Amino acid sequence: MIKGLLKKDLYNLSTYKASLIIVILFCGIAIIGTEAVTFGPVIICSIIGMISLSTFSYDEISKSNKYILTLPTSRKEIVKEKFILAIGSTILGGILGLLLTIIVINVMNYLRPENIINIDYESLIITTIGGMWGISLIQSIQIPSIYKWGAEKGRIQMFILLFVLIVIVLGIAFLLMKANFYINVEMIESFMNKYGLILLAFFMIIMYYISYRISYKIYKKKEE
Amino acid sequence: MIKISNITKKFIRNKNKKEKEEFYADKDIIFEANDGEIIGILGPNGAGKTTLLRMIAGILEPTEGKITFDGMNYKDNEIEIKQKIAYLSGNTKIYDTLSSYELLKMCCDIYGVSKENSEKRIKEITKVLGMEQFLYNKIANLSTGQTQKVNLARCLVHNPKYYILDEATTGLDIISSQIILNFIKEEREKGKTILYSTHYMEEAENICDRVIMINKGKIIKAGTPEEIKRDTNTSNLRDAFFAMIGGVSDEE
Repeated sequence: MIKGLLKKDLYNLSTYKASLIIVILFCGIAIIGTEAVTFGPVIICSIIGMISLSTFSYDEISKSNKYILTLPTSRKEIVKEKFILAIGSTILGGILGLLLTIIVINVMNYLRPENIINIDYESLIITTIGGMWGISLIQSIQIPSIYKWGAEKGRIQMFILLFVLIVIVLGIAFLLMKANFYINVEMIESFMNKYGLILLAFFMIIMYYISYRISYKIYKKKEE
Repeated sequence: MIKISNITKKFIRNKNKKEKEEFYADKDIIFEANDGEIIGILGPNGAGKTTLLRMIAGILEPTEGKITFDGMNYKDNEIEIKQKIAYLSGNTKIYDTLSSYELLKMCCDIYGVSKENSEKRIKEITKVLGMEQFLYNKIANLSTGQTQKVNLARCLVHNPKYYILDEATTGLDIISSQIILNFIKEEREKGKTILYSTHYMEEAENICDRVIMINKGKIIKAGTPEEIKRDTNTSNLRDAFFAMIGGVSDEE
């Protein structure tokens, strides 16, 4: 049944096909113009990751939420499907962005052998994963917000929550600095170089899981 | 057979800016709908018809009471029941960026209809509802009647046994309404069960085998249209309804 729900959302998202191609082309041109290697993965991952959330608006505008509840599926599966779509789109966005960057830079290097741009694959992958992590954070906050307040209000609430989160993080950092808390930057750097990717992936899974549990709890009680 | 046993739905609403209050959208609703029967759920706006049908369709959970389909209930057999029902309301806009064909294809996918069968099914439904002319047009560009036909068509892809139709003909012209009413009658002949809510009393009188009149969340009368007219000593369901509620008042 999740497959059927995924197909429903993909059918609706297929209306974005043309806009998406234009965005990818624009990103390709931007990479050529700026020669910024890290630009593509972050932008494409953000766009594709966020587009997946527009399926909530499609369901809301078409008043299909009631119809969906009459389909042979449970509320748990309905929520699960939205997360599969969100995670899938983030991964797809990351891979597409990565590939686009590699292809564009290599084509440029082929056409302009006098002006070779070196790709640091390690930092490119780290940037891509960082971008994916950022999008997964936004999705993890936004999906439960949409379930709670609806697609329109949910977006506003998401920004408020994100703002609060940033304030808390900055607040803690400020307090630590004020308390003359010693931060061993070198140690953190070497730790992140060793375990950074695993940590990011771990936190991504945790964020999605918590977000899924909250979303399901909200949706379970929601009366359409 | 659909069996509704003492269904009650309680909501909390704002009484004023500060206070909240409980109110019953439906209270102690009891009835049965047999196979091959059209049951009309009648009543004015706000009577509790939509809430009742949403509970039967599995959209809302009753506060109290039990709903069974051939002895199965939502708690234990949610998926099996939902495979057999079709819910249609008058205000669904459906995904209007898709064409009618794409929407039906999507619904076939959702219900797990095989590729070969889905093409066959879409062809059949298109013919029955007279949708050939606009099958490949975007739903956003269709008229209200055509959109409601597509809406009805999407309910049919999985060949349901139970139809839950909530004001399915509201806002439609006489021809579009008649197509839907004829379709409902044909489905009854096939042994399907149809719950049909409307506030068009004449429409209900024409197609329903039995009628349940609801007002303020309670059943005020149930029976065949003939029985209701006889009991209330009236010549039509409209007058029968007013006789039951004691005439028209602002409150109604």
